[in-house]
Amino acid sequence: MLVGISRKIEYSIRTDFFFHLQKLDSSFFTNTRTGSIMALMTNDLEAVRNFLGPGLLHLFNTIFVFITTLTVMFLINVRLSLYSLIAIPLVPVLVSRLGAMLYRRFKKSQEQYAVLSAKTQESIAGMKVVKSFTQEENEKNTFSKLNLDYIKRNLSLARVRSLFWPSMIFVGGIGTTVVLLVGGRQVIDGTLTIGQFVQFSAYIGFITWPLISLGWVINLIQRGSVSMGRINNVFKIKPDITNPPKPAAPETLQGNISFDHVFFRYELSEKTKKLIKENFIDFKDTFTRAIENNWVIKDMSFDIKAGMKVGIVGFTGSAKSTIVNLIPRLYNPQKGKILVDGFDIRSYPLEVLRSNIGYVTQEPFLFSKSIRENILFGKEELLSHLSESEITNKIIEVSKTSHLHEDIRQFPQKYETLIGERGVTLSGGQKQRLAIARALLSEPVILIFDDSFSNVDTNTEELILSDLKQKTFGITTIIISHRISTIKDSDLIMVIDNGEIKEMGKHSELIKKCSIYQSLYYRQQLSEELREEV
Amino acid sequence: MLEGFYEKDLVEKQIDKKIISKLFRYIKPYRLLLAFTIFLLLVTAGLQMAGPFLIKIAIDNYIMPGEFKGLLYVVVLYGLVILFEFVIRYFQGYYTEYMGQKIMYDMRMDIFSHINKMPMSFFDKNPVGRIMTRVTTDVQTLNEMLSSGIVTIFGDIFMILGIMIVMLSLNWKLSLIAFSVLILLAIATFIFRSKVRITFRIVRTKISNINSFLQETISGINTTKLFNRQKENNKDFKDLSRSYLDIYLKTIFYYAVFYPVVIIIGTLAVALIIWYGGQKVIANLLTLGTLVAFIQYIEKFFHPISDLSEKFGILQEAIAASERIFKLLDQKPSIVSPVEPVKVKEIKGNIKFNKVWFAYNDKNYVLKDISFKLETGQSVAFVGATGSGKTSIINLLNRFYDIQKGKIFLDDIGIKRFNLQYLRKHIGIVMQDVFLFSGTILDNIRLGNKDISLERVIEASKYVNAHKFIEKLPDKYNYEVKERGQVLSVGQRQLIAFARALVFNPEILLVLDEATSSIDSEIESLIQDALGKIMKNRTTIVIAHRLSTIRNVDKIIVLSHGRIVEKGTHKQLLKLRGIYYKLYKFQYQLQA
Repeated sequence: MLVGISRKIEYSIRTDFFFHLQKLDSSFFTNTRTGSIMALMTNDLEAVRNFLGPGLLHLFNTIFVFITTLTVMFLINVRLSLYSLIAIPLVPVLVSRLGAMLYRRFKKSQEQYAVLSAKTQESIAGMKVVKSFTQEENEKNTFSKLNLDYIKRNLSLARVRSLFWPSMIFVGGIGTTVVLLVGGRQVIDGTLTIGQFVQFSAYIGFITWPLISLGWVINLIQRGSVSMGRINNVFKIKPDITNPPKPAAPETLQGNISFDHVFFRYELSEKTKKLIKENFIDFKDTFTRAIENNWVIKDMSFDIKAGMKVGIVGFTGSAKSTIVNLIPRLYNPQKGKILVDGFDIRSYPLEVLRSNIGYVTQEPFLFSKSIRENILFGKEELLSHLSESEITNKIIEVSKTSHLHEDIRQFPQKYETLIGERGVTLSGGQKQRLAIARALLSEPVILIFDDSFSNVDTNTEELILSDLKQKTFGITTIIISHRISTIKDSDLIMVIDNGEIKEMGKHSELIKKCSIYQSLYYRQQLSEELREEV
Repeated sequence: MLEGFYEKDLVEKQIDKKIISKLFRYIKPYRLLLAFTIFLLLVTAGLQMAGPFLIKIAIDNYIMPGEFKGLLYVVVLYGLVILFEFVIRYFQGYYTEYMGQKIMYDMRMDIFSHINKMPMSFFDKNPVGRIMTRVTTDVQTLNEMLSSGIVTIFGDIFMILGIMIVMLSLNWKLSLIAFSVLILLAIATFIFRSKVRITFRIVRTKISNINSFLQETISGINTTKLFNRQKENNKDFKDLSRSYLDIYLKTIFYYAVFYPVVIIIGTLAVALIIWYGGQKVIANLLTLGTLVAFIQYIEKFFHPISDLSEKFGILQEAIAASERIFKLLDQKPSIVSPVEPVKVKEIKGNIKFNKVWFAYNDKNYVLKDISFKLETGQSVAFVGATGSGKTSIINLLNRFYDIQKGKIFLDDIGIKRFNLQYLRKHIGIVMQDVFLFSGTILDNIRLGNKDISLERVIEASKYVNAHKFIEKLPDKYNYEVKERGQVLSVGQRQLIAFARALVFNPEILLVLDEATSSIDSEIESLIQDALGKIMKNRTTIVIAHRLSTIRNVDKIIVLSHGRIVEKGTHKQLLKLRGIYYKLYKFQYQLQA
């Protein structure tokens, strides 16, 4: 029964944890490794369950057997009982001493394991450097050292672990020896019958095993509580980006966007940092740069009127993506305000804000589901009032706009084709076009394309763009692109450099006065001409 | 709707003899140790069996007759036995683990060095995570089998046999009665295990479904946020989690049935023995001590039986893990040194490409019919649009990839005739995406090669203009670079890469010089300067984007769609008024 309950508790912890994860900010995920979060849900959760299930079960069992057996033993012969229990006090001493040592050494071994894993990972990721500088031997030596250190720590753990069981068995054995001596003496003296003696030896046998398992149980309890603590630490992390307590903004959006002296940098609150650090020894502070007081976005202000087509250009790393990340509140700016239709975006419920924004990332994340499910992603509820065939028609329509439909028709299972490891692998361009379809389906008021055409060839891109132009009439569209041709006809073009707006205007203006824009434009024209050459 | 997550492969793997023999190769160096631990195990088993026997003697020979001295003697002996058992058990446990760890060490080293031998195409195909699993998790699983599996299986079998022999020798009739019940126990245990194991496989599939869903959700968290899919995700996850729970609750049924059955069978055995043996004791055909010893032996029986059936599961998992490991180890690296590499005193550094065709996969050629020559100390720049194939040139000379057609010569010797390490030692490379290892700046420049002194590193850093900014870091050359060097700017990392190439002082240099946007103009000019310096007197192939770099080279080759379309010096190409001319013109306009 207890085992069943422990499984049910495991189930609730797991689902609660998942629900909690979904609420956490993006910054939490940039600073933790997926593997570490997964470890919480596998190793740690298992430890908790073992503590709740087998752990508690054995604990109750042990206590019950102990009490009943001891009662009977004392009823038979008090003196012999006391003697036979002579070694019992050793148990808690041993368990707590050895247990603590075990725990420490186990932790050390686990830490070294993490180091070894990290080294392996780095070595594989940097294989090109290793190979070109022929540092294979060197790498091997480093790895060998870490590997050796790891087994050394394991052996130091083994020295204690190998002591654990034998010592428990030994303590149990002392009980039997004492019974043999004192009980035998009593039988010879005639104060104990031989039957009682046999009974006693059997009882000693009864309590020996629970005794031994007690050590194991205590170990389980210790590990379980440590793991529970680690899981709790994550529950303690509260998201910064939440719904306003009283939404003040309207439910429907027009699509005006303005930035008002916005400053932003990636950072974690000290409290969150501490909680993450406690849990993940491989905590990576991706945001160290924040310490250097480096704003990723500096004092940015602009106004976009509803229905405008806006282009954003700039070199790699100039924080173009960061700007558009702020609009659906993936991150909160530290200073300044972002307004949509004149209301601070913080006054909108997150669902309202985000469902009105269609967002296409450069490397779209697709799920291991069917193409249909991927396009429908997140809109299931929104479209639930429609019939299956109506939804299908809508999906086909957006797929046509993003010029994906023809590709899908080539697949044997059409829209039901699975994507990912167990299904087809889509090309970079197909992925981007699917992401565009996904964003269009919700009929958003604001459309954001974050370099979404980089893997789509220029001809298809132009076709998509011209189709979009008709469909997105009246929709605010922000396009980040490396290709000037993509954004040339925008109502407004922003040139971003190092987190600041260098210049704003139309193509005809920028080409005259903005050097960065010129350089981008020429480089682009050049590669196009080169392409046409052959 | 979540069928994408379901592992279809539920077919149980048969234990492959080949794998066993391969595994045995790893055990072989430690066979003496293995024999020793098994010996210790036998001793423990023997000692364990001695316990009840001593009690029998104590009861029959000393307690019943009332000889206290003799009893004392047996008690001391019993005490010694348990003490001895304690010591032996300890060493047995430790040395078993010791052996397991040693084997793990060997195996990890083997896998790691094997990975190091694999060609770049291997890393294109296999994600880092998967390769890592081989070195870490899979080896760990094997360890479990080695340290707790094999040795204990021997011990358990011996234990069962030993107890049976002792019991038989004590009283064969009583033994047979006991065995008849114990066989029931063995059958029940194995039935239970097989039932539980089958469901366990389904359980494992379910848990892996849960984990992959979890992993995907974490990786795609921003998409989920942007599309407001938290609610549906929660529902999907709940369903997965629920079906896992349900399957588990089913196995609990088996547990709930099994444990009472074990207790009933055990009690039945004891009862039978007391009933039958008790009659004999009364009839004086059996001593009381023997009866007591029998009861104790029966208790000792159950442990090895349940242990054995449990080990079966571990064994299967370990086999699956070793299968994956050996599959990796069996993959022969496709790019290797020749059996008899050519012996040369020194590399001069003249390079010749003769009608080279290259494709990353199959016939999808990215380089077509490329021929060019480069004398010692000369430099060539490859220019062309993205996708023209120019970056692939860099991967060929040092044999990161082998070409399909044509031939590449170094000092007029085909590069395939060189020892691979030797060849690469003489070719330096400066890449676009500078990979920094976690460690100090010093070690990142000399790549942990202790033969290169700090002075030399500083000298090189000064030469390539890296010294200045390194001096400004908190610990200077001992500054710890965090994961992938996030704190350093792109430009600074590039300068470190130059210093790295320089300390190894290669005769040939390959430079991937993509115009990086986020480099500020100050560092940009430092990079330009450094690049010019290290190219001096070295045969250099530059994949260039900056025209300023190109102007300093001896020869320019313009690539388009994998073919050479223009070739010549800066002046010649300008006169040609072709692609290069346009390229230059744009750049000129830019600077004007």
